Amino acid sequence: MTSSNSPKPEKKITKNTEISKTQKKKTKNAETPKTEKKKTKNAETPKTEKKKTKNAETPKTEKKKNAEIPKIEKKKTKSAEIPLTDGKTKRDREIAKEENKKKTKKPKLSNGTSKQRDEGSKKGVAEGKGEEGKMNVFPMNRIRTMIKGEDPDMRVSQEALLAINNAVEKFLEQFSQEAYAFCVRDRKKCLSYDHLAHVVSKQRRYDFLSDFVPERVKAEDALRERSAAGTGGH
Amino acid sequence: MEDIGGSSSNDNNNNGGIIKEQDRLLPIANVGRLMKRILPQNAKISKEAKETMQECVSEFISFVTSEASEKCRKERRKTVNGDDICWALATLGFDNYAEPMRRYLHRYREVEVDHNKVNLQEKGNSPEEKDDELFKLSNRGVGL
Repeated sequence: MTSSNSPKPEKKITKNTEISKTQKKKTKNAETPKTEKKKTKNAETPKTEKKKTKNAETPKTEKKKNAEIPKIEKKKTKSAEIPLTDGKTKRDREIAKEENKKKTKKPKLSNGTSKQRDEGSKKGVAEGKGEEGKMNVFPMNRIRTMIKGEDPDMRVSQEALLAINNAVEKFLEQFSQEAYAFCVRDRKKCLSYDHLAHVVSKQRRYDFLSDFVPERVKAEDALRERSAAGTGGH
Repeated sequence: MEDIGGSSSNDNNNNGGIIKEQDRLLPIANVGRLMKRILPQNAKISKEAKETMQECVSEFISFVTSEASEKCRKERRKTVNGDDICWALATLGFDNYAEPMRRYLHRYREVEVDHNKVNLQEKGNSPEEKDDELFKLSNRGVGL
């Protein structure tokens, strides 16, 4: 593969076309060789493509995760690539065969993980529909304890506890979604404190959290504010 | 995070009740699981974000409960019920929560009525007040 110079530029060309088309099948085929994997990592691709590249970047993860789906797609793409160049397709076939053998060795693991994911997606759909007949997410005794800590004299009915449990669930969902929107805007992979703090600072309904989740400020800026306010303050 | 812990411990001391540190927050596993469920599959959540969300959720409970509790005190009532929670949510800017919540409570009350009927048939008692009903239910540990 690496020894021959001629196939490299052609692969690059195919990559560009694949990225522009944003087709799942072709990108996966292109990503199988190691050299191409590295290139795809460096390239700034949209999020959806990032997902695909993540799956394809390491063969181990492919084995563990949904292994059945890419097999089918690869088969289709092979037939598509035949008219382009015979030599490349042969090599790709050989590599694909080896990978198929490896994947078949671990079908159980992939099945297990796929089931879990399907369940997760189903729950998401259920939430979207607005069904509220589910079990409560948080333990009721814990919520009762927290409320008692707030005001020991006041009694709280069972339905109020259920209402609070439900409200907390909605609050957490909405807050997480809004924070994730900032996470996406920053093009980060991981949802972090800064994104939550940004939501709190931007929306008025979250003002009650401003003392708990302040936006992080550099020491220089903090010192400037302090000096501007004067040493007589806090 | 340390400051938050300090302030909350002060609040606990002021209340006079001793609350375990573990019981002050909702379990992080539940928080993390729910966050993962609502976000896209490829999204990653830092541990710091989960811990921050724990704090936010606990503060939300205190915020809503205080508002509802205040309303009950003004009306000379001793028990906070579901309607008070709905009212508090609407008052505090979470209007989009109040309507689904009312529907939720409506369904809950239907289930409660059915449950009471079954109990009445078995025991042959007639409850005098709604508060007593709810009190009994809470003692029995009835949960959906």
